[in-house]
Amino acid sequence: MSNAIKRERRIVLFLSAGLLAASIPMFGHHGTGIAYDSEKPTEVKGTVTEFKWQNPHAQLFIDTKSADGTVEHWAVELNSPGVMTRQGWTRRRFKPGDEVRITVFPAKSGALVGSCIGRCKVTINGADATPKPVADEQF
Amino acid sequence: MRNRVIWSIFVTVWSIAVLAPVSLAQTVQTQEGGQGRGRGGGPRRNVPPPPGPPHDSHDLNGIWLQYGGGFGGAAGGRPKVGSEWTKDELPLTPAGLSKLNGNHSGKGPRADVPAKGNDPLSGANVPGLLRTLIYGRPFEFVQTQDKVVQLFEWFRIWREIWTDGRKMPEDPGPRFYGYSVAKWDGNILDVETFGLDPRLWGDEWGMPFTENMRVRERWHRLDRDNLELNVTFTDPEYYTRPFASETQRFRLQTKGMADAEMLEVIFTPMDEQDFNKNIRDPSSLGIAGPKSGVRNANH
Repeated sequence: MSNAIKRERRIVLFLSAGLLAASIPMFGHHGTGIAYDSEKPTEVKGTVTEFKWQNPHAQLFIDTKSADGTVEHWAVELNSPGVMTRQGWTRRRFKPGDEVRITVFPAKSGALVGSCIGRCKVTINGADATPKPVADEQF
Repeated sequence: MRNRVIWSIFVTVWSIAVLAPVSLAQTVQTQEGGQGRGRGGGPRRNVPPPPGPPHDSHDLNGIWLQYGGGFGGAAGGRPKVGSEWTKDELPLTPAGLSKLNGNHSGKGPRADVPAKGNDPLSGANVPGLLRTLIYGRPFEFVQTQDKVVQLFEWFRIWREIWTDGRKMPEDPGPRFYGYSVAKWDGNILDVETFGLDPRLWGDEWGMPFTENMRVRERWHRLDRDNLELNVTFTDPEYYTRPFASETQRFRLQTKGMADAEMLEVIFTPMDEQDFNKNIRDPSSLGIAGPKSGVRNANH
């Protein structure tokens, strides 16, 4: 394969990565958005320990296990119950013991806190649970 | 050689077809879109919505939702001494600028992490009239013979706009939602609001005002589906001159739409304190929360 072709295919891969990065929106609702790093979407994979469906924003707590078996405790900031209701979620969306994978913007500070607001990717027990867009967005 | 040409064409077409709209959308999101309501990037605020069927302009009844997204964390390219109400720099007096500089928000062009801020909302205080009007949650107008009642989803609060001909009281304040009197100016409901509590902010970014600010709201129902609001702020102590908002546009929410029924959205101190302890402070300050850990700075 010639160098020119290799270069062009690297361009496609680069553009794909750019598309992926551009498609993940950054939204800060209760003013906490500035605390998160929208340039580093991070998948948090673990077990739900608690889900708080309350204002101003719902909170999800997840225990993850690293490769060496260390357990880490994550807190995830979700959207407000009002918005999530309109996205089709309820207070029973997560239960303790659920296995989740959730893409967050991690806190810049190093705290194990992430933001999942908007259409961040979520799976619960292997099934896609990504919040759907609100119907009247289409006007 | 032929394969290289085809491949080059494919790369070029793919780039234009796929990446350009995404870049534009992202630009729109960054500049004017975003998710003030936690929605996906919606229409830009300054793009008029599609017209609807004719309707009596004197009938404001209905549930209304702001048309267009929020400004997002990037503040939509607005000036540093700016507001969500207008794309222009705020015409602040030295006293007004000093007050603005003392209002530390987690949003907007002067944003800092909320844990280091003094946003009154962080203590579960009500947002007040001006902040509620710009925020983008649904509200409902209910007209009676002598007043228009505006019900706000945010904090489940209402205000009366008196249309019975009364004059503005000399000293109606301080009120978080002000005192409002109105008259019809043709097809426009012309509202005067006074007596706002100056401890609150005029928008999400910390816009200041004094107890003497007078707010003129002009509500105009264009047709069945569309409502416009234009606001003029007059506050000589903080602003060198009256200044006008951009036109705020609202769409009627009808049965079947997600915002056709207003929810209970109340921030209580107990919930706010819990959120600050578990989310706001750890994320802002890099400390472990009661239910979350922290990595070292070199993570």
